[in-house]
Amino acid sequence: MSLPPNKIPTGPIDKAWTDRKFSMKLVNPANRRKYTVIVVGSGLAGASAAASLGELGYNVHCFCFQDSPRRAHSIAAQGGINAAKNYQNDGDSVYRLFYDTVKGGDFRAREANVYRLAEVSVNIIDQAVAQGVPFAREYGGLLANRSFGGAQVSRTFYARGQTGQQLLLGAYSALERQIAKGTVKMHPRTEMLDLVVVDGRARGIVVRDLTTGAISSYVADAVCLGTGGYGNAFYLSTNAKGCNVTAAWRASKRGAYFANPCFTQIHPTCIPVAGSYQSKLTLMSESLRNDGRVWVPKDPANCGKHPSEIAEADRDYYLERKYPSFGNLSPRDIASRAAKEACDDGRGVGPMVEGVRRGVYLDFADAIQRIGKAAVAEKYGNLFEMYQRITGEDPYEVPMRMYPAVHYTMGGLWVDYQLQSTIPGLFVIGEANFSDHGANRLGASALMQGLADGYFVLPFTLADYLAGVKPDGMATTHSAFRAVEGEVVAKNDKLLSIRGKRTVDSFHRELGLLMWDKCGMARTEEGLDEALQRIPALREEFWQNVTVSGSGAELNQSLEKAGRVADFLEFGEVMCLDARTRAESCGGHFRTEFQDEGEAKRNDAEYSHVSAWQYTGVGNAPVLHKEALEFNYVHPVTRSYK
Amino acid sequence: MNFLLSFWRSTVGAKVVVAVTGLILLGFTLFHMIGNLQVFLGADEMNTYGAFLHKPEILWAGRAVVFGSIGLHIVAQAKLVAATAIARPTGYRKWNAKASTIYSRTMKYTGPIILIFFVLHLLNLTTGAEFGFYVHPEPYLQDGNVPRAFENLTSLLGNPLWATFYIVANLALASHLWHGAFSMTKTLGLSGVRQLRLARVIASVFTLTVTGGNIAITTACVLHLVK
Amino acid sequence: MRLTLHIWRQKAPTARGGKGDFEKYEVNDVSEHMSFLEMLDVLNERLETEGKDPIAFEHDCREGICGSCGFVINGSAHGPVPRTTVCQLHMRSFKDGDELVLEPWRARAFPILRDLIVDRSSFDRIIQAGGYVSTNTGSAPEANSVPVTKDSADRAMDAAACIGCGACVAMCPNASASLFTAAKVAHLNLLPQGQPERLIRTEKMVLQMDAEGFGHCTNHGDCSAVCPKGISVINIAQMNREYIEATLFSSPREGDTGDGA
Repeated sequence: MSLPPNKIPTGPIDKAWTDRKFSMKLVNPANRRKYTVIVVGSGLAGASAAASLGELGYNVHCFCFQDSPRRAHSIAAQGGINAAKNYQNDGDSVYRLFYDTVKGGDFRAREANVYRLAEVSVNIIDQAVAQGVPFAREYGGLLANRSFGGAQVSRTFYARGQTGQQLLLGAYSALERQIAKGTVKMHPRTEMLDLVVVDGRARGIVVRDLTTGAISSYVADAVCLGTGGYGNAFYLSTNAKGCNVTAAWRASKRGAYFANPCFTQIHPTCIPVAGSYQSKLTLMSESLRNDGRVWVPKDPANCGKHPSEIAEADRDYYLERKYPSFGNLSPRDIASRAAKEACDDGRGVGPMVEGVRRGVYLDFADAIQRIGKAAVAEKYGNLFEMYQRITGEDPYEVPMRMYPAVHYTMGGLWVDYQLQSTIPGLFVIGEANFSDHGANRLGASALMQGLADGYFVLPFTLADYLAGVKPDGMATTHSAFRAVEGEVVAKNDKLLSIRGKRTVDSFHRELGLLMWDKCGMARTEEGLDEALQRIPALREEFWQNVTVSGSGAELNQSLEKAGRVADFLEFGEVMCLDARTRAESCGGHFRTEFQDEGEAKRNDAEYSHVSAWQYTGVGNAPVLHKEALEFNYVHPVTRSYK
Repeated sequence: MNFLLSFWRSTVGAKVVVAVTGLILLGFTLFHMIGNLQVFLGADEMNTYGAFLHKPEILWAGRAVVFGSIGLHIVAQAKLVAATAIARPTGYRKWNAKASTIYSRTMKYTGPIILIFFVLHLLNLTTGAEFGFYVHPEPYLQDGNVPRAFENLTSLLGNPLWATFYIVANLALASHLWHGAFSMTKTLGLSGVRQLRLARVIASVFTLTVTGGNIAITTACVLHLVK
Repeated sequence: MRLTLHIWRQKAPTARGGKGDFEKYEVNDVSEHMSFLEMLDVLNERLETEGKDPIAFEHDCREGICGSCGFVINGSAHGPVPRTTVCQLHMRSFKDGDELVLEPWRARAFPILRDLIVDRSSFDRIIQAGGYVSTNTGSAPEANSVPVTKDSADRAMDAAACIGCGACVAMCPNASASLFTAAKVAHLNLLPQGQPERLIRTEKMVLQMDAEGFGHCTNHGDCSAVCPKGISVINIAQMNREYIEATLFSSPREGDTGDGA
């Protein structure tokens, strides 16, 4: 099956969403409760969608694997949320936010989607404030803004360093209100393990109750996935430990195409790996680069020394040297790659982990001298404290050590303008879809997109779909549900019966390291070919030699992890294949072969398209479908930060 | 009156009852201590004061307020303690206090000690003869309905055993008030940082004043400094 | 370093009659740079290769914000370091030869599901009782149309920083959830957007807290002392005051039970 139409409205872009909202069908308020909608995931996208649909009167079931919807990983976002309010009178507008996002995404996102995102951004702030989100305020009582991630306007709204938490608690409180009213039934500690498609429509899901282990099904008229990103394919990332690709990948195996899986974002300022036992990476706010200077020793022989013993002349402030106009504030992807190059060059600092020092200094000595320790503490005190808690080093005395880490995934399930996947009735929102960020996401845009989809897009587009289908009283006794349940049970039984020698984590770590080396910050055809050879072998070994203790009929964290890692072992191959097929560099996707002295070299003639991959069976090559991208408003140019 | 019942049933409501009655009892302890300081002025002053308190309308109003407060204080707190006793069915093998104090954690022990003391104190100095707790050889009331307050007190506390018991009981009272007098301000909703700091100071001074005064009286009696 | 751990193991949930007991584990080669949970990861991998059940503990973000993790280490919720969740606690806080007792949060309202994992859904039900501003999507006014004093916004943020981990309940000698509930009440009640439902919110959340079987507050302050976000007990005093106002000094319209169920 080729890609369905992307349903992008024709006509002027600034009217597109308004016109579409008018032309879409509606569901009569009295009929809404007859429709059941499943929302999987309770992060910003899932919680806002479930709450909004509940308010409209649909019969909603919401699922999350955590113990409470409030714990979804959106909660960890620190920096802020963009909105084109222009409160600072610095020339911002919907059009400028749209322009910046398309450009920041390195011209690999759909213009119409991005414009809609910028347009509804202003409503998100209104909604969040009304819910009681305690955004930072000026003394006059109005909302404060800051410039974030190199943006030239101050359009970022924030709540200390906990913006994601506060926005999620806002959406969560709206969700809990609907749960109390009975419009939403919440299913925490329940993991979606498969999608049920009946007569070509998504009709429900099969889930495992993580407390009792019971496998059961839920029927609905539409299913919506807000299940987040797949950064944990790399094992080490800034994602929460539970983040996984399972829901999206199993939907993909049922016919939803996966778009641009190789588009992943690396964040340049994370605390480096300290040892082989490392379980996750911690992000330090990018704002640190406003005052910190990045350097490594010029001579690899100095790398083992204490930084205070390395003379000024022996230090290489490589960002300032290579990118004199942006210096330490160079974009995320550029700063990340430069750090990798320095460490690959043998000039990394910090402890040796598996034979390599992976870290660069982020030094505040100059800032302390310039503005004083108190002023530095005022700005970054809590971050310094966090750094010291984790590393045991005092950043006022010793430069911080930083290294890039996987942070966000722009790729995801392919959706049309109405957020519907290639399976009718399956909608995908938030980080789980591929939509709006192209090949690179701008800072403070993830929260915006999750909430835009959940509050202000899905409630309209879902109605358009539901208005065209009739509730038919289908029950979980339907043979399609029985069959999928059987497959899920069989898969879990298989995992439990292998009783091999290697733990799930050891496979996950091996896959992650391979992905990071070959499909991480810099990718080569050769390396990707090697990964494509090794992943199937690792998968094979996994199914022969993994050990999962306990049984399926109890709370079993090993079994949960095993299912997720099994999916990463299939999905990782698609990521590598996508990265290999896209023979250009763009945004977060950097193919070493395609560069101009370290700058990503885009190939618009051949790759100005979305790559959507159709699953054809484990080990079989997926089929590539291309959706051409058109740029009628923002014309592709080469990014330059020199 | 459902709203009162609902208030009483809630933990916050019951705690407010404990706090309000506690506040009344604070007033009582202060008034009682100041009154008793007259022991230093001699028998006449003290007994005249006793006679004043013995006017029926004052006596019964006082008793109603004090006994009523004590009763409600105990019933409300007992209700809370009973509910909380099952809030943690399995205890910890190890538990380290972080901010709670020996005073706050022993409220449920110092409370009953104070109650026992209160009962004995009443028997000691008023109507305890038939139970053998009334110490002074002559009857409680002299002619003209004047109580033998001074004589009762000095002879009772002249006994080192009773004096020790009274001092111990006052230390329990000090512990109880040290936490209670401050805690009640929060229960009743005092929430400003500055106001709470002030409340802590007032509660501390109050506790030391009341129990210090009581102990001074006891000490003076046992050392026969007042005659 | 080497450590001896005494860990609470419980296979079946308390709600289904499960009982548990302590088991002793020796862990060697603990690096001081490991987080506490990474130390348990290493132990779990060993147990799994030996074919034994790993120790179940809850965790997710491992950066101190999701509120999933938490257990009591040697009598302290989240361990010995103030303002730190157990996922951010590092082994340099311990020394070679230490014996550590690991216990789950213990409260009737937090029944144990397995080992160190407890069911905290009671917190969600407290929110359902009134921890929201009743505003439907799309109905919000322009964000800057209602000024909020910086002071209120900052105080609301102080309270809103609560991560719902449950350490306050775990550490309270009475197993009271007052700090959690009060933080939630304060967050919304301090903001102009929360005013219309201020009293009914407070009343309903307090009653739900009681209904869940938590103990009462006696102002010990242990809750705040172990709170990883340093939520102040002042919030409890504020909640008490508003509860008094709601129940004794206000007269809701007959039959008005608020927005929720």
